[in-house]
Amino acid sequence: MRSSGRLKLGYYPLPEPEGVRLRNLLDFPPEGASVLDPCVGAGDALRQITENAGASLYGVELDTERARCATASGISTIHGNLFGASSAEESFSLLYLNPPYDHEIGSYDNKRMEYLFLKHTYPWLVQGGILIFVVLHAQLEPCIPLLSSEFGWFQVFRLTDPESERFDQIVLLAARKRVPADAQEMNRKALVEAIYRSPLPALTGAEPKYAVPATPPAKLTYRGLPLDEIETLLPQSSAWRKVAAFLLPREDAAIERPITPFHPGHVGLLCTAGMLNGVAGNGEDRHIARWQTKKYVTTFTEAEEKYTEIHRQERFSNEVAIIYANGRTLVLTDKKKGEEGGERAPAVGTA
Amino acid sequence: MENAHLRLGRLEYDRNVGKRQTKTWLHIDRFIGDKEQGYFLSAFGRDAEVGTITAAVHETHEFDLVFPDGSRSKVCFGPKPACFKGMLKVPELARPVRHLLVASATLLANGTAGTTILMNCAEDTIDLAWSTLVGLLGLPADPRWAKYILNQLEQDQRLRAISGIGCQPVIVQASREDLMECCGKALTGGKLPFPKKNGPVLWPRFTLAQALRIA
Repeated sequence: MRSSGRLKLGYYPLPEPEGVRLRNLLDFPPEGASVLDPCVGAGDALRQITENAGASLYGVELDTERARCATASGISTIHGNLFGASSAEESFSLLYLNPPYDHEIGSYDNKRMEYLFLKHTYPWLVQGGILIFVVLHAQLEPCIPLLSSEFGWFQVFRLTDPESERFDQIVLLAARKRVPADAQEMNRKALVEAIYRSPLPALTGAEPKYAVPATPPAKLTYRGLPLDEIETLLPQSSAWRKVAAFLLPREDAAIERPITPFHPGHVGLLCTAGMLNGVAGNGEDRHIARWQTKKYVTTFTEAEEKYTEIHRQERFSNEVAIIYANGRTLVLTDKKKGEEGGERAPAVGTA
Repeated sequence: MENAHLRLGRLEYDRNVGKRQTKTWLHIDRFIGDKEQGYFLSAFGRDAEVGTITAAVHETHEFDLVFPDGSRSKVCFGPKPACFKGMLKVPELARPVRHLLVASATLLANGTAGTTILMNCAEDTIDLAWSTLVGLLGLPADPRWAKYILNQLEQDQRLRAISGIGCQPVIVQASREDLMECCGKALTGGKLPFPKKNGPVLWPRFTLAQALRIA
């Protein structure tokens, strides 16, 4: 899919005139029917093709805003990924399927989304239930084996809206039926003939109608993770506190001026604890100091008769890094001069 | 937040034992890595998936990483990584969601050995980046120096953007001494302001939630 399509989540809604024509091909039962749109969007197409039908409407939508619109318009909508949704087999009368026109993203054997959406949802259709499949003409090919083994009474039409013609969109109408093994080849031939008829007839709304079977209200459940809620909750995870020390800024607590002057011992303790960081000194000696505790590991070996013992000795020490107002820098450690640290002055004119 | 699926990546793991192949995957909300070396990962999923991926991380196995734009790459966290786990109670789910954080050995020693990994370093997160760098390296510095020093590091090619999900990470190839020298030179040249009053240097405070939400 192109980037522009990806940004729309592969969302190409059915043009309104096509929805009106499709509605003319459907006879809904007075007892009521459950209708599913697995890519319901804002629900416009589903409402059009079930207008005045008295049907129970169900949808699945990934986009938050569109799912909200669909719910507000009276469609029982699951906000999430279709592949996390499930329903009892044979619980819907009509499946309106206009899936994203894209490939799945896997390491190998990536299938088209049209096929995957059909495969996931067709078992939810009752026998005699109607499938309305809006796809790109070229993408019906991978669906032929599944369609010919599970559906019959095929009709394929070209959509004539300029937007649909631009993408070579077609609509396949079929009814679910048990196809005996010996009739599958004949069924497949009928389907192939319907798909590749030349020229492909345009959908006018005056074609033979399909009788939608009656079904009670269905139950559609979601077993996937609610990603939006989880993303909001993630900063509350206790695990973050464990990595904050080496990934996020450390909070420097500035302490208030003490009521009484510090004893030199207190000053020493506070310095080494890194709590007297900041600006100090006068004139040429004004500087910013920052204390740090460092771990030093000393390794030494002891050679015995048949083996060598390696000892590691750990100790903690403090060091202070200082930067003066005039650019001098200094790192004071408890190591001998020359081993580490030492005063440095920047080369003049190199800044 | 809305439409999280547009921002989340995927960590996939294939385990082949004999004739059996098991595929496990987790959602990723944050990742820091450089080519095939993963430094940091924040992922979530159900118990079994998190358990499997944790074991695979400790066994230094290789994973498939899927970025939000659909691009893929191989990733490994190297020897001696650390795994931290948390739990998220989601009201609509009966069982809590498991949260997994993986930190590579390099990230555990972040700021030492002349290399520092910053989770966010973009135009709008420059204060956070500078605060993190100063905190990790123990630099005597001022918050107002952020822009100049980070620009200087970029000019010296010591700051390199690496791949990330949910963040804009960079690697800073400079030790504390290098940065102190850089600050010292700039102070000598009068390019950086020095605090006028004695006392503590007040740094902007970032709570964990703020620091994570910035991305």
